[in-house]
Amino acid sequence: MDIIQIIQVLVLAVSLGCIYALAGIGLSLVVNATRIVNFVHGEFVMIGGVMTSALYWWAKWPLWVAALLTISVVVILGVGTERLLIRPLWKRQAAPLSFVMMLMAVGTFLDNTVMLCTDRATLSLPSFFSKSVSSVFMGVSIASQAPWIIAGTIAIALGLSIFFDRTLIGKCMKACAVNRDAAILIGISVDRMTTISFGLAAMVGAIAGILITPLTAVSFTSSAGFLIKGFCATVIGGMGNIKGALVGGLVIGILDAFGGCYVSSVYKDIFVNGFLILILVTKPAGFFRSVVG
Amino acid sequence: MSLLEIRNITKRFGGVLALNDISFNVEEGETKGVIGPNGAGKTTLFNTISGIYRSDKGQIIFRGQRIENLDSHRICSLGIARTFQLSRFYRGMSVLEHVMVGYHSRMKTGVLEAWVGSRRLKREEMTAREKASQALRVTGLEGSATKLATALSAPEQRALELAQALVVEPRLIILDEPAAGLSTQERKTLVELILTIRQQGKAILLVEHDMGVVMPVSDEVVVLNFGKIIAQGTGIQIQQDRNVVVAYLGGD
Amino acid sequence: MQLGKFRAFLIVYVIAAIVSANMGIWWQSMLTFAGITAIASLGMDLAIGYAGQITLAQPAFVAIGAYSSAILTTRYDVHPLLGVVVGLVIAGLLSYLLAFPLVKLRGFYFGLATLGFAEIVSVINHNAIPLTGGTQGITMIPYLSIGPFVFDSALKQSLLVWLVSVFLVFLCLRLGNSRVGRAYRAIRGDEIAASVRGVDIRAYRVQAVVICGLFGSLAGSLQAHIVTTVCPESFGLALLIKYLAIIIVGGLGTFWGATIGAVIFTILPEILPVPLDFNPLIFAVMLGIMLLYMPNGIYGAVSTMLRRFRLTYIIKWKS
Repeated sequence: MDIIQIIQVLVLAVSLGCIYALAGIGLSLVVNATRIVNFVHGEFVMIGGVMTSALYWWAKWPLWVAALLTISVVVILGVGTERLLIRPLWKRQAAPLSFVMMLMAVGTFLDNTVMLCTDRATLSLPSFFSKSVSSVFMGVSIASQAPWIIAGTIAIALGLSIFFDRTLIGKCMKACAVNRDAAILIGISVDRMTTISFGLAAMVGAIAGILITPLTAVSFTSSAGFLIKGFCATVIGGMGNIKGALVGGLVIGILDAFGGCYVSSVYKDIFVNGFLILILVTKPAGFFRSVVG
Repeated sequence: MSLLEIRNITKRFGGVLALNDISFNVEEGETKGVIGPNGAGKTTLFNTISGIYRSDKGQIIFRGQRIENLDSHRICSLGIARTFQLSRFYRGMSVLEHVMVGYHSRMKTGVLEAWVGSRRLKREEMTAREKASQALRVTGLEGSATKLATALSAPEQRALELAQALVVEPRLIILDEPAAGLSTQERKTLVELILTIRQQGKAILLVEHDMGVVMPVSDEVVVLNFGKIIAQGTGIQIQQDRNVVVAYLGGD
Repeated sequence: MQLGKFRAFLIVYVIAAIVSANMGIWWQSMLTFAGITAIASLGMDLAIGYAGQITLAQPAFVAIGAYSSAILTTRYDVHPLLGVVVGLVIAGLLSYLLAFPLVKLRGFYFGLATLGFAEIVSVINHNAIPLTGGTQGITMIPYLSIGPFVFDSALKQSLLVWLVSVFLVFLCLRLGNSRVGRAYRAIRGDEIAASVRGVDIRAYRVQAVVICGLFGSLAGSLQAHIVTTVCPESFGLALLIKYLAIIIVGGLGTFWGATIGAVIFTILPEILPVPLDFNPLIFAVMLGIMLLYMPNGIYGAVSTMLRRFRLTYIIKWKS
C-alpha cells in the first residue's frame, strides 16, 4: 500500500467527514429544538449544491452570488416547511408518524422538482481554491477543495458553539432541547426557537452542499445519502452534541472513503448503511453524551 | 415472606437522586399508604416498581421473585397492576376495549388463531368481555362501555383507570393519586371502592395527598421526602411523628 | 368477523369479477396493478396505520419477493408457487432480523434504520449483476400457475390478485377484532400504558413489521409473474411515497382504505395529462394535503359523514 495514496484517501475521508458532520449538526439543531428528526435535511444539502452549480454553469452567475442566493432559498424552504407544514401538525399534537410522512412528502417533492428542473443532471462546481481540481500539498496531490471544506466546517462548528454558549438566543434554544415545557414556563417562545432551528439547519445544510460539490458531484439522488450519513454522524456522536457530530462525521467519512477506494466503490453505501444499523442496534445513544434525552 | 419487598432501591436521574435507599414491605392483603410532599419521589417509586424505570441499585421482590429487571408487561402478568395519575388512553378505543386490553396478559390467542377464527379464540373473547364488563360494573362504568374513552368525564376517567387495573385480578394494586380531581362525594365513593377491593384480599399501595382518603383505608403509612423514607407506621403514629410535621409544614 | 361477512365480500368480489370480465384489457390490467399495490399497501396499513410502527422498508420487501420469484423461476426452474413461498420466507426472516434488534428505538430512529435497510437492498438490486441482473433486471419470468391452470391473461391475473387482496383485507379485519388487534391499537395509542397493562410491546411491534414485510413480498412475487420482468428502478423511494400516500388518503388503519387508495393511485396517474416523471410529485403533494386537512383519509371522512347522517336521520325519525 502506497503511503501517498493513503494520505490522499485520508484527506478525502476527512473532507467527506466534515460534510457529514455538518449534515449531522444540521439534524441535531432541529432535534434539539423539536425532537423531530428532520427527514428533509438531505434535500437542504443537495439543493445547496445543485442550485449553486446550476446558477453558476447555466445562468453564468458568479460563484459567491449563486452561493448566497442558494443559501437564502434553502433557508426560506426550511422555514417555510416548518411554518406551513410542521407547525399545524405540532399544534394538533400529531404522532411522530405524521411528521415523518410529511417530511418524506416534502423531501420527495423537492427531489422530484430538482430532478425535473435539472433534467436529471449531475452537477459539480470548480474548486474554490484554485483552477485545478487538485493541488500539491507537502508533496502530495490532494483535492484542492479539502482545505475549504475543513476550514468551513471548523468555522461553522466554532460559530455554533459560540452561538449556543454565549448568545441569549442560543442559550434559549439549548433550554428548549433540555426541557421544552420548562422553557415554555420561563417564557421562551418555543415556536420561534423551532423556526430558527429549521432556518439554521437549512443554512448549515446548504453551505455543506456548496462545499462538497467541487469534491463530489451532486444530483437529485444525493439527498438520501446525505440524510443517512448525517444521521449516522449524530447517532455516533450523541444527538445534539456538536463535537460528537464532528467525530461521528469523521468516522463515517473514513468508512466511506476507505470503503470506496479499497473495498468497492459500488457497494460502499452498503457499509455505511450497515454501519448505521449496527450502531443503532448496539449503541443508539452514541459514544458521547447527548444533549437531548 | 411478604408479598412485596422493596430493598434499598436507589434511582438517579442525572444529578437528581430521586429515590434514596428505599426499603419497606407490603404484606398480603395489606393496604399501605404512601404520602409525602410533591416531588418526594412517590411516582418515581411506583414507576420503578411497575418496570417503567430501572432502579440503579436495590431489589424488588414480589412473591419471592425478583422483578426489578423485568419488563413492565411481565410484572403485570405476575400480578401487579397500577393506575396512572394522569389518565392514559388509547386513542379511538372504547371504554370496554380499554378494559379488554387490560385483560390481555391473561389470554393466549395469537395472530394465526385470530385469522382462522378458532373456537378457543371465541371462548377467550367471551371470557374477556365478561371480565371486562364485571370490572366496569364494579367501578360504575357499565353504562359507558361503548363510549370513546376520551369522551368520559374526569371522575369517569379515574374509574376507567381503576377498571383497567382490576380486570387482571392482581394480587397488588398500585393506585397513583386516584382521588385527584374528585369532589368530596366522589372521594367517599372512592374510599368505599378501595375498601371493597381490600375485602377481596388484594394488597394495595396507595399514593394520595388527601388524608381523608389515605387514613381510613391504610393499615400502615410510609412517608417519603426527598426520595427517602422519613417515617413508617400506622396513621396515628406518623401523624405525631416530628419528621413528618416538619416535612409538610417546614421547621419551626 | 363471522363467516357471514366473508360471504358479503365474496358476493362483492363476484360482482366485480363479472363486471371486469366484460371490460377491456386496459381496465383489467389496471385492476391487476391496483390489486398488487393494494396488497403491499395493506401491509403498510397494518404496521403503520394500525400498530403505529414507522417501517419504511416496504419497497425493499416487495423487491425481495419479486427478485426471489424471478431468480428461482428463471434460473432454477422452480415452480412459481414455490418461488412465492421462498420469497415469503426470506422476507419474513429479514424483516424479523431487522426489527427485532431495533425495536427498542423511538419512531424516527426506527424509521431511519428501515430506510437504511431499504438502501442496502436497493444497492444490491442495482449492482449485484450476477444475482439480480443489475439495472437490466431479469426478464422472461413465467406466469403463475396452480396445477394446470396458468394465469396468462389480464383477466385471470386480475381475478387472482383481487381474490388474494380481498382475502387479506378480511384477515386484517379479523385481526383487528381480536386480542392482537387491540394490542396493536393500544401500542399505537400509548406504548407505556399498554406495557404496564400486560401487552408485550416489543413482541407485537416486531410482529407487525414482519407481517408488513410478508405482505410486501407477496405483492412483489405476484408482480414478477404478471409483469414478467423485474428491474431495480421500480423499487425505490417513489414507491414508498406512493404507499404512504395510499394509506393516508385511504385512511390509516382502515384496511379497506388502503385498497381504495391503491385503486385511486393506480388509475390517477393514467388519467392525468402529465408525464410519468411527475408522479412522485403528485403523490407527495396529495400526501401532504391529506395529512394537513384530512388526516383520517377518505374512509375516515366517509364513515364520519355516514355516522352524522345516521345520527341526524335517527334524531329526525325520533322527533
